[in-house]
Amino acid sequence: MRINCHAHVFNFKSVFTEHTIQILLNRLTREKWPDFILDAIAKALKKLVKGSYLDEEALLRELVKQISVSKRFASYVKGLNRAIPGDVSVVLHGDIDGLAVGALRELLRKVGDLIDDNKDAENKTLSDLIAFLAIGFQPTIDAVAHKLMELSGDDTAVVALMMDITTGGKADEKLFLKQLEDTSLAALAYPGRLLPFVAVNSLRISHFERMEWALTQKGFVGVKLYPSLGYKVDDAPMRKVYAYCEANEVPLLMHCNKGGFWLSEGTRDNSDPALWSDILRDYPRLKICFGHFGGDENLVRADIPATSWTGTILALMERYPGVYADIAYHDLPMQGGDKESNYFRHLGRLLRSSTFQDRILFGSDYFLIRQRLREDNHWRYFEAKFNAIDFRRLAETNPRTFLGLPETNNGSSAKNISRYVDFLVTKRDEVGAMPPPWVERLVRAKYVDTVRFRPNPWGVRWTINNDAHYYVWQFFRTMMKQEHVNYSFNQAGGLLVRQLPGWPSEQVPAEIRAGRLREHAAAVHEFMTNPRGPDAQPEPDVTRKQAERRFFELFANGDTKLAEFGQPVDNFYHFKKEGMQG
Amino acid sequence: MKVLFQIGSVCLMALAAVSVHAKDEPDPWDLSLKVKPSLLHSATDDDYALAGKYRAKATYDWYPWRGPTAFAQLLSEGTVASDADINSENLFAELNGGVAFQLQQSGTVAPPPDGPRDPNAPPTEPPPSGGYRLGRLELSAKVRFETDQSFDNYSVTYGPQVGYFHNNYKGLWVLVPSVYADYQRVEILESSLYQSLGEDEDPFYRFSIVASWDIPIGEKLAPDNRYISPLGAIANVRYYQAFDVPDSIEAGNDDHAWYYELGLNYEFTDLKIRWLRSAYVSVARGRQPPAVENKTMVFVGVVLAWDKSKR
Repeated sequence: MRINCHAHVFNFKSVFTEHTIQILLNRLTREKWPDFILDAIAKALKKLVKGSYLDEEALLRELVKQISVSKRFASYVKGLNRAIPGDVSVVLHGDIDGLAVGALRELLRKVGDLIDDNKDAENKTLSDLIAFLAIGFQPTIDAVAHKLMELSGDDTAVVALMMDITTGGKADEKLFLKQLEDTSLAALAYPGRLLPFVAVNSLRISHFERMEWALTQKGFVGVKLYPSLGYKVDDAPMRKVYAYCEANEVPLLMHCNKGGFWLSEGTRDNSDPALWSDILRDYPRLKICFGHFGGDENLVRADIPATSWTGTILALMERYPGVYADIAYHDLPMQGGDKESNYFRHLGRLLRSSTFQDRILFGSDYFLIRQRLREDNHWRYFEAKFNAIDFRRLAETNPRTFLGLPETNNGSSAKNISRYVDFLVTKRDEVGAMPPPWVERLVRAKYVDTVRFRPNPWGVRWTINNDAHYYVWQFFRTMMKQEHVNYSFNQAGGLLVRQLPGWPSEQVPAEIRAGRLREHAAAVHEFMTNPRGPDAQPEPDVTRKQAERRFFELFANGDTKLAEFGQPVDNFYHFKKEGMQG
Repeated sequence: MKVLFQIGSVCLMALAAVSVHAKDEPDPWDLSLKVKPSLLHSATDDDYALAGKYRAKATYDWYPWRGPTAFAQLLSEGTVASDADINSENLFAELNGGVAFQLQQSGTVAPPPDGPRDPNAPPTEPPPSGGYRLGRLELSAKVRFETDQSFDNYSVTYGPQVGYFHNNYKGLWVLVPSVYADYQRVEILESSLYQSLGEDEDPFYRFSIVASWDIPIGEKLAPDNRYISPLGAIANVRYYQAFDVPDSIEAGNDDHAWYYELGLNYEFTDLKIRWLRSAYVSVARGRQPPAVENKTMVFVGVVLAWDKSKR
C-alpha cells in the first residue's frame, strides 16, 4: 500500500468565512493571475461563504458571468492588440445563459489561452485553476475525499490534513467542529485508507480540547500545524500539545515553506524550522514532519543552502530521530533542466544516506496542487523519476514508520493507530468499505474474531448515526408506501422519490406539479424545524429559501434517491445534539 | 398608457441590468435580465426581421424561518422585432404578489436513540404520526398590461389567483384535487379586432381553472404487492370561461373551453428494469385556448432515464 502523507479533503465552505477568505485570495494573488480573473474568483468565493449553493456548473457560469462584465477583461483583451477567437468574444458580448457546462469550461480554457499567450501566469493554465476551484467548491468534504480517492487508486492511503483558519478566540467554532466531524466521517468512508490529522491553531481557545477529542473519539491519527496563520510554535499552549503528542505517540505535520497561506508577511516566519531546536530538545521522542521540506526552491539549486529552511530541517534530522520531511507541492523540478536534475540528485543522495533515507515522505498536497497538475499525474511524475527502491521508501516504508502503522504483517502499531482501530471497530456498521488487510490484522490481534465489519454502501452520505440523516428517514417514513415503511435505514436510502405515493408524476399539469413540489419542499422544512420534533435551527448564513429551493430541485427529479436529502439537510440545519460531544 | 409602459419596462430592465452587474448576492432580491437577439421569419408574410426577446424580473421574497412566506414580483417580458407587423408574440408588464401557507403541523417526533443504531435493521418504532399535513395554499393577485408590438391591441387585466396543492393519498384525500385558478378583469384599452367587428370595447371577466387528481390506485388495491403498487392514475380538467363578451364571440363558441385528460402510469423502479422508469397511457378530449377546435387524443409513452450516481 502506497501512502500520500500530505493531502487535504476540506472544501472552501468548511474552512473559510467572510473574515478569512482574504487569506485564500491573497494566496491566489501571489500566483500573478490577471485582475479580472481574481475579481471573478473573489466574487464567487464571497457568494459561497455567504451561503450560496454553487455546484460546478454554477461556479463556471458565475466565473464567465463575472469575466463578461469586467471592464478589466475588456481592456485586457484590447491591450492584447490582436484579434481574439470568435467564441471568446461571446464572453464580451454574448448571452451565456444557454451554454452547457462543457461549453463554459471550453470558453474559460480559451480565455486562459489568451492569458498564457501573455505569459502572465507562470506555467499555470486557467483550466488548472478552474479545476482547483471546482474541487474547492464541492458541496461537501466527502465529495472532495471521493475525488481524491478515485484519482489515487485502490491501493493508496492518504493523510488528510485539516485546516484551521480562524481569527481566534471562539470564532467559527461551529464551522470548525463541522469540518472536524465531516473529516471524521470521510475517514469512515475509506477505513484504513484515509487517515485524518486534526488541525491545531492555538489562537482558538478550545484547540487542546478539540484536538484531544478528535484523537480519542473521532479517529484522527495525527496533528496538523500551520503557524504562519498567526500563532507561535514555542509557547506554553503549544508545549502542552507537544507533551500530549509525545506521550500518546501522535505524529505532527507542520506546513514548512515560504508559500501557502499566511496571515501577514510577519507571520510567515512562524513556520521556520529553526524554532524547533529547543522544542525537540525538550520533547526528543516527538515525531514531526516538516511539510514541503522547507520549500522546493532550495532543492532545485546546485547546492542546498545550509541556512535555508531545508538545510535547517536536514540539521534537525541529524540530531533527532523523529524528524521527517515531505515533498508535497514540489512543482519546480517539473520545469525540467537544471532544476529537475539538481532536485533528483539531492533527493537521490538523501535517500541513500543512512541518516536521512528513512525520513523523507511522499506527499502531493492535493487538492492545492491541482492548480498545477492532476493528482494521478503527480504520482506518475515522481514514480517515473525515482528508482523502485527509492520510491518504495518514499511512498511506502517511510510513511508507515511516521504514521505508526505496523511495519510487518505481524508487527504492532503505535498508540495513535491502536486508537484509530478502536474507532473503526466502534463504527463497524458505518464504514464505507471493508478495511484493508492491515486493519483487519490489528483488529484480529486485539479483538480476536468477534468483530465483523458491515460496510454501509452509502458511506457518509447516508449514515444512521448522523441525526440529520436519521430525521430525513423519519420524515420520509410518513410518506412511504406501506411495503416500504418498515425498510431499514439503508434500504430506505435507496428508494427514489418517484416511489413515494404522493410524488407528482410527469403527467400532472406543469403549474399544478410545481405547486405540489413546493408543498413537498416546504413539508421537509416544516418537519425539520418542528419544535415538537427535530427543532432544527439554521446553520450560519443559511436561509429557508435556500433550503426549500434545494429540496424542490431534489423532488423535481423523480430519480433522486431519498439518501440524497441527507447531506442538504445536514448542511442547512443545525440539530441540537450536533457539536455537543466536545 | 403606452408611454408609461415603455418607460416602466425600460426602468425595470435598467434596474435588473445594474443589479446583475453590480451586486454579489441580491438576496432576498432576485433580479434578472435576459435578452436574446434572433432572426425572425414569418411564413405567413414570407418576411424576415431582426428580433429580440427580453425578460426582466425583480422578485422580493419573504422567507421567515417558520410560518407563511410571501413574494412580490415586477415582470416585463416580450418580443420586439424590427418589423412589428410580422411579430405575433405579445409584450407585457405585470406586478404580482402573494402569500403562501403550508397547511402543516408536524406531530411529535421522538429524538434519535442514544445507543447504537443499526442501519440494516427494520425500524422498531412506527413512523412519526400526529399533527396534520393538509397541503399548500397560495393566494396572489396581479395587475398586467399586455399589448402587441404595434400597440394596435392592448389591455389591462387584474384579479386574484389561487392555488391549492396537496400530496395526500390516504383515505378520501384521493378525491380532493390540486387546483390552480385565476379570475381576471380585462379592460380593453385598444382593440383593432373589436373595432373591425364593430363591437364596443367593453371590459369583461375571464376565469380559468386547472384541477388535477393523482391517485396511487396500485397502493390502494394491493399495498404490499410490489408489482401492483407502482400503478397510478391521473385525471386533469381545465376550464376557461370569458364573461360578458360580445355575441359575435359567444356565437363562435369562443367564450369558453374544456379540456379533460384521464391516464394511467406505471413506475418500473421496483422491477429494476434499467433505463425504463415508467410507462403511461392517457386519453384527452377538448381544447386549450387559443386552439379553437375540440379534439380527442391518445398518448402512449415511456419515461427513460439513466441512473445518475452522484457522490
